Amino acid sequence: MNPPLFSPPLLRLAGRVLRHSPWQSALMVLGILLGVAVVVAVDLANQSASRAFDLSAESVAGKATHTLVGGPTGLDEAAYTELRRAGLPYPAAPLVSAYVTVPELGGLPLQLLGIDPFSEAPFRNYLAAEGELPLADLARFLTQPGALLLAESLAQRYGLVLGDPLTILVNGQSQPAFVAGLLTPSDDASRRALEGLLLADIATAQELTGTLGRLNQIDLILPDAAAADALAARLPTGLTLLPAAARSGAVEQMTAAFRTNLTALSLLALVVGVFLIYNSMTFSVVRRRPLFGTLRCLGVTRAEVFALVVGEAFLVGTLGGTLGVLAGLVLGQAALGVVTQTINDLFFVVTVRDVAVPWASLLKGGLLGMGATVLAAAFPAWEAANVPPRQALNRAGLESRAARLVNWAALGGVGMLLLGALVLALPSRSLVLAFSGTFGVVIGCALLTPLATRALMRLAATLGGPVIGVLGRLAPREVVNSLSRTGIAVAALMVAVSVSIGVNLMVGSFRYTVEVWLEQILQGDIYVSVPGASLSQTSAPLDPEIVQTLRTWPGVEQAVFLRSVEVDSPYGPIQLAANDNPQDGDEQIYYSASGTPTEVWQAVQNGAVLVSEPLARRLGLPEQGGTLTLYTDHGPVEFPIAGIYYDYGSSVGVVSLGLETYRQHWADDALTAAALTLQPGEDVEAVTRALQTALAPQQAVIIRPNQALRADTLTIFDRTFAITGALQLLATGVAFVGVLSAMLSLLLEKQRQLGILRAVGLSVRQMWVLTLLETGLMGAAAGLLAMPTGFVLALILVYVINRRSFGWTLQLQFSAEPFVQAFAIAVLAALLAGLIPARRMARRNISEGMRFD
Amino acid sequence: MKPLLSLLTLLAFTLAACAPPAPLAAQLRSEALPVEGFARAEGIQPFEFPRDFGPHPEYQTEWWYYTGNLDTADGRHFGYQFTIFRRGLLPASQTADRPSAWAADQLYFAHFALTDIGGDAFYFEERFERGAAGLAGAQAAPYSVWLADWQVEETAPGVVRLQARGQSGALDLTLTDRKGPILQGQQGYSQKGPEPGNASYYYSQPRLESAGQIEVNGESFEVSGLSWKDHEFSTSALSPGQIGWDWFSLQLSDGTDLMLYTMRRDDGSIDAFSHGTLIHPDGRAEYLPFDQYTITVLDTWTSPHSGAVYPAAWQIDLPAYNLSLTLQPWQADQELRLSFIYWEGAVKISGSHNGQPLTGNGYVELTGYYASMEGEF
Amino acid sequence: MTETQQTIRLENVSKTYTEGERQRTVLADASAAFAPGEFTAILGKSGSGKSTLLNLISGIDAADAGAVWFGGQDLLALNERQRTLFRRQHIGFVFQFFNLLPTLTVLENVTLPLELTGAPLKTARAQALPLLEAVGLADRAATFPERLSGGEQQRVAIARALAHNPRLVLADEPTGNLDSATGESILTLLERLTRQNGKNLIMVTHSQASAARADRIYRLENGQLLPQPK
Repeated sequence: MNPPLFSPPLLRLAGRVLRHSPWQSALMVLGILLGVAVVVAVDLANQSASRAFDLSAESVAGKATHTLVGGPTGLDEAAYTELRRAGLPYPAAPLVSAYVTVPELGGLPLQLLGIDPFSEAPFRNYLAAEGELPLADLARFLTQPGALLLAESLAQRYGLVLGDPLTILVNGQSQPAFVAGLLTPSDDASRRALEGLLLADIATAQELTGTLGRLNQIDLILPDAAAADALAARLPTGLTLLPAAARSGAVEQMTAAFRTNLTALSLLALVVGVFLIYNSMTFSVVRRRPLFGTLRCLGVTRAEVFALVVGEAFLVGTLGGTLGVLAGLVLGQAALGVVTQTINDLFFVVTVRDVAVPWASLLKGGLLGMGATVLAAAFPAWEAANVPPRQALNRAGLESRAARLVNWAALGGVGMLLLGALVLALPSRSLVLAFSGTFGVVIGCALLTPLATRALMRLAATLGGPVIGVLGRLAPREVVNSLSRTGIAVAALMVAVSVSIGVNLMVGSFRYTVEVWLEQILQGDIYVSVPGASLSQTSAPLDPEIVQTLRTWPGVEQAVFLRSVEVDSPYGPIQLAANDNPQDGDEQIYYSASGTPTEVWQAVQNGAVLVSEPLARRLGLPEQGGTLTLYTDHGPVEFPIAGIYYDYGSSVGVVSLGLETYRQHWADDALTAAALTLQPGEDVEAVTRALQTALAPQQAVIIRPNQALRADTLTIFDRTFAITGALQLLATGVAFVGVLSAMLSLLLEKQRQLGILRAVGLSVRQMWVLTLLETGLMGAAAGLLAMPTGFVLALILVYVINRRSFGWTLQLQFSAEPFVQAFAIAVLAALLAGLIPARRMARRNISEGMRFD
Repeated sequence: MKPLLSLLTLLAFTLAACAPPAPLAAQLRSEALPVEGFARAEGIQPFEFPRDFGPHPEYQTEWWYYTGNLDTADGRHFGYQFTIFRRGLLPASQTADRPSAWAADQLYFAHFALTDIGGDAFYFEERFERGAAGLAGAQAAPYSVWLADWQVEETAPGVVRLQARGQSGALDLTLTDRKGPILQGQQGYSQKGPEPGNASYYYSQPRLESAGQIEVNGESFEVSGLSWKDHEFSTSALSPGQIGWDWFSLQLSDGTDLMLYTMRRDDGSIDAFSHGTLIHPDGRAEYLPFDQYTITVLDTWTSPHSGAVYPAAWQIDLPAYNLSLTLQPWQADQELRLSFIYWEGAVKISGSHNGQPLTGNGYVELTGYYASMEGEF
Repeated sequence: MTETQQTIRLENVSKTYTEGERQRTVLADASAAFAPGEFTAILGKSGSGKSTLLNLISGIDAADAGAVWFGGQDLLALNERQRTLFRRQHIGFVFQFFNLLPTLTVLENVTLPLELTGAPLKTARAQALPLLEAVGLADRAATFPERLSGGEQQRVAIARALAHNPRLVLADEPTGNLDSATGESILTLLERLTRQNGKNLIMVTHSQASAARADRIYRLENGQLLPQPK
């Protein structure tokens, strides 16, 4: 006498219930689908980008244990020959690498890897199975200028065959090359890594990138630390031996915060989705109370009723989860483009051509959706299980219980708020903690929503009655009377909209801060730089002739030059910005400084460095009196830090120093960019055009007036936040589905009542008004309540999340626009959600409505 | 059956998931570069030293070949082979003028083998470098040929230092030339086949007194003995149907040195272009056409590594010179399995010359037993 | 002996509800016996506690004191889950508002109690179809309840109440929501089918006329079950 929990008739019943209210079921599925899709898409994009980075780091690092690096321009190629001729007993391979774009290959940044095939085998075997070199095949590769090898799949995508010409764009120069060989990867990982690579002989790579005589690095496989120490001891100065893993690890670390942010935003969509499920399930349970009563009479046990409701949720969750995973795959392609673009803009070049499909990621997304659904349904299911048999409890009784629940929820909300605030206040740099705290605050606000909604509705009834008449009183009361359902719908919408406010305020503040900062630092009239393969690659040097031209150009009062390079340090690669600007000390905004701007600049002239705020945070540098070690051409040098300055150009961080200082420590007289100040009265546009015409034959440089550079910078800024906007929109979409579903169920339940109203004489138009008034009120409540929540969220984002993620201090810029916009979205979404059910109601005839039940 | 199968599948999945990221692997597909325009050995050309100690990039293939038999004071015997090959990727007429110092139209590779009779061991390895950026090359004066840290370098007229350090052994020898360069074939023009151009230019330094250190598995030995150097350059010397050669460099106790080779054809016969040179103790050389000597194989050895069957003992007769020799490998396994598979080994000689018993050491090279060399050289 | 085993008896059953601040005693030391195959009517005014009585007999509610005997089994000795399973097995219900499951077809509504007791669908159908035949709705088996008239719905409910061959059928104002002619025919059908199958039928009603059909009539007054002569 112990029947199974899921007996066949009950399972059938669960399926029937879902089929019988297809709208509600579809909306529940849609809610989960959207939530899961967003989570999966972001996860896929993150993983693909991260994997692509790993792959490209790995395809470059190969099996190397250590890397020998030189200064910012690499190391002298003679160093390699010396090592080999001296009989280095370990595998060593020279490498020249650069990011290039090839119009024939879609114009995406590709890594050009110059290798020596004879020393490659122990490191990377693109060319053949271990120990076998196809010498005959290599002849062309070695001897023909511009000979490149590329992945067969890449060539096929762009319809290229052996011998086809290619144009290599690098450092503003265009170089001819051709397809000398095609590589067929032996596995999927190799295929993905190869798709971002162009392989050339080291001679070819030097010729294409104009780095004759230089190598980027020498890879080594050393058996142990002792061997590394011994080798390091006999290295000439200027060469530094670094462990290979430390280098790529430090680089990848930089994007971790960015990826965590995306994941948190995607989880938010799921949280809103869970609200929706909870909402819908509660509805469907409440509506079916008599049915559960009957079932209990007929001898269905509590456990079976619980299982029945959870079973329904399980069906919805499975369907929504599965479809969500599929949708996530599609969405992932789109997300990947945006994520990759941002990583390329902000961090480093990574070429991802397709979404890697890690099954774990899909499974995780699907299970998350299913689990969330079942969890969300647990409470309604428990409710259903406790419906007393045959007790046709009227809604009034239920609502009186709900009213009590509202108070408890509010109490819990206050608790969650306090807990969230406490977690946020913890002195930690953990992003996970920060986001947990944020979720706590948001959920706390959501729990307070029903109570606040009730208060707002009472206010609306008082205010609305005299203005609109009976409908004005009736509508808010209806909302309060069904608070068990409406409260949740309002909370879900409130959460989505408040996130929109918070994110918009944060982005607005960020943008404002960057604008102010640009205003301060962009003091020149015209800026000249060399296009890199991506924005994060800005060390391509200006042609010396151009430098001379700029110095002596008529009308130029002052030409300030910048050398921007990456050097190695004990903390990984570090971006240096060396300039000869005598006013630089005044043009920076300092976070902390060792003295007055003049004193700081004096120190910088004497060899001290300035560190940007993100770098100072990343390395945990002290506000005063810190030092920074960099590997110079003559070994590690400890530089005093004269100050920490605000910089929003790089989340990775920059070290700023005097050009003189730079050249003392590094044998490199290249220059990367120039800022020109014109004599008073000169026409900036005219000089820009004249320079463009004059310099075009020498090198493809970008010459921009101040405003254009500012605009370009802000464009990149906006691009960076595009995905944030998209995710936020999706969360609102899920909330919209929630409100729609809530309204549908509510009105369905009220058909009888509306039937009575119609019978009493409510016109179709009035019924429209009543319905839309109700949903509109709900939207308005959500919009209003979202305002304080959104503001708190903005504070958290600006002062906690952003600082922990990127190390930027932002000035909170308050503007009314996000609030107005959010309110409008909330009301509009709610009204829109009311349309469909209202239409349905209007079409029903009165008797049909009355006969229901 | 079914559950077992699924369990195995699962296990495979788990293993794949746990495996460290595999190194990048791919297969290259390219088109071989058509090579025409290398000079060919088409007749007698005057040799000139030291110029001809250096490289001849107008020919596609060239090698500097050192072999030797060495003994420690207490009689532990070693053999060594040290060869640097040069292969032209492009004839000079086709090379582009390229600014990078790494731009290479020459490929160098080297074979280094040690036979340790006392340790019953045979070590061999191969290295490649481009003939550019100073990584590998050769020069006439002062004479030097090198590949990374493997090198032969002239230290005084007629004296070179040979240094090579491999994974399980090293060599550091001073070689003193006692007979000077001996031109092989007809004044250094060594015809290998009937077609014009299927020939090489070839000289030897057959008697190099050798002394220095040999290191095997970390143990160092003072050794002395005799080395032999060959230097040969050509462009596609083999003719169709020639599958390989048996080559002998023999240093006899009475001061006589002997080079012989037989070119084997795919039908099992010996090509009539095979020839040799007899070098008297005073350095006088005599050309030995094919019909002047007979080589009888007395035994064979089957390589347990490659399965190839090699001759493993020989009877060599030069009736006109009243010279009769029996050759035994110092040890059977001296097979090199590198870019190509061949046998190159130290041999022990006993025999008689004009009725006088004699002994000696030599090196024998056996190619084309595993796979035909046709088209390779 | 057999008689006792089959008899359903209430022994000194008391039940008090708390409504807000007030205590309301619905049953006070009430006793009654229902012989096998007997049709009993319980008369009472609205709010006299008729529904509570049914809840106690069916094990939906537990009495505060006393015993509810089903043969040798005291329902009050069982816990909630055991009572539910007991109900599933031994009791059929006919409600005033029919309470058919709107998402199940007529046939599925009838087979539901059978399937709940674990009968395979085939067996359940085989037993349900003759019942639908008996209530004259075999041709509507695949219809959903909302397409039926009130009388038809109540006929389905009767078939459902008998489907799993229960010992006892409880009817709560079965004609309360029907016009008198339909109510009359429903009552006739209910009586005929329970008697045919030898079931106990306990019907709660406020209608003297309906009660007149019963073998025995109790009146529920002041928490007491008072036998009333016909």
